[in-house]
Amino acid sequence: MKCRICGKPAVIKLRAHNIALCPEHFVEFVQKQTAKAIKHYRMFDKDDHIAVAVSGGKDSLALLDILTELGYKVSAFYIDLGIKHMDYSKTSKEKAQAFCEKKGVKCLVYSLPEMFGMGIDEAARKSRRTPCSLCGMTKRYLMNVAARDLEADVVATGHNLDDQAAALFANLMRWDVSYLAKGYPVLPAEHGFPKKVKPLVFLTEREIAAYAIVRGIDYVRYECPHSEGARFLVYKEHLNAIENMSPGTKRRFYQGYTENIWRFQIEFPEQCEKKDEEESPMKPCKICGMPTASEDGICSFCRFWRPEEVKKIKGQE
Amino acid sequence: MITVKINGEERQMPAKGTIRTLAVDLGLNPETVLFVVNGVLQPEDYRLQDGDEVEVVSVVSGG
Repeated sequence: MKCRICGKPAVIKLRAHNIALCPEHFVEFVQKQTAKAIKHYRMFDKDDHIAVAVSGGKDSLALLDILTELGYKVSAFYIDLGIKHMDYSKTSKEKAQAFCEKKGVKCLVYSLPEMFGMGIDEAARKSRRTPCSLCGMTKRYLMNVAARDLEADVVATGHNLDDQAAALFANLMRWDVSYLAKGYPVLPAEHGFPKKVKPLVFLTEREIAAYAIVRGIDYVRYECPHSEGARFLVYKEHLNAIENMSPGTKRRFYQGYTENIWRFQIEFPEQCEKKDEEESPMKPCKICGMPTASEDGICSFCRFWRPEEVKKIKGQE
Repeated sequence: MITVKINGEERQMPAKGTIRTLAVDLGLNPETVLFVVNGVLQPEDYRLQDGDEVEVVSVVSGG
């Protein structure tokens, strides 16, 4: 198999695009697709400072590599969830930090065990919550903190086409119209929260993994122990079965959705309309100062992770 | 027949077998894996050689 562009031996065939590419032109292809998504969805420009959420996995490290290669001003942050199984968090942190150092990118670390004396597993056990729901809430909060600490204009995450298509599939299966109204790869800055973007939405997981291999990116090859058997993986499996029969389906599915998202947004305008700051129900959390809409003025992160301070505040009231 | 190592385990394959035929034999959806042969990423028509060391890389993550 020869590279469509230069005729040298190809390392990958991209059936959805009907091309085979050599390492050099494959790297160029991936970087161009990312640049195209950034422009198409108006994610950011060269003057913006971008905070990349790095996990040590293929997607986030590839994203960091691509954005630096494209000449963007980038910083990174890593959230240490303290997952001890198979040294998952320890290894992920080492890989994330080593790659940031290699690229000369500043990387802030937010460690749950260091901040609160326990990781996500222990916290989930004690609170009888699922690790994944606790993890989601914790990561969303710390992303906002990282953007503030890094003085970044935008937070970029490594969500790819497969992630977006699987989430869309799941929301359609449930006809969850409120979620369908907000599946766009750009979340605008609002109420003190930073703009959030997903620049890898034109690329499949396979393309990103291949990019990481070709670029020699040392990423964590195994999965978060909590994702095993997750329903999300089942949706991905079904979409990949369809993709194998009909290459390009995932791309048409998700891009068609972003072109038609307004149909869902009509039903749920509150999910997408930018409100005036004065109309906003948001106020600073009484403990950490981050914006919160909760009635008692304490954000969900502080309510969970800082119970002693919550008690103190409640006692004073 | 040729002998190749798949993720460290030896396996017999018909001579002239390709990565595509290996994926079918292993029951893998080619959309969910990559094949690194002797440390180099290879496309689906790569013809496996006796003694090749193949790493099957799963690309699907939990999100």
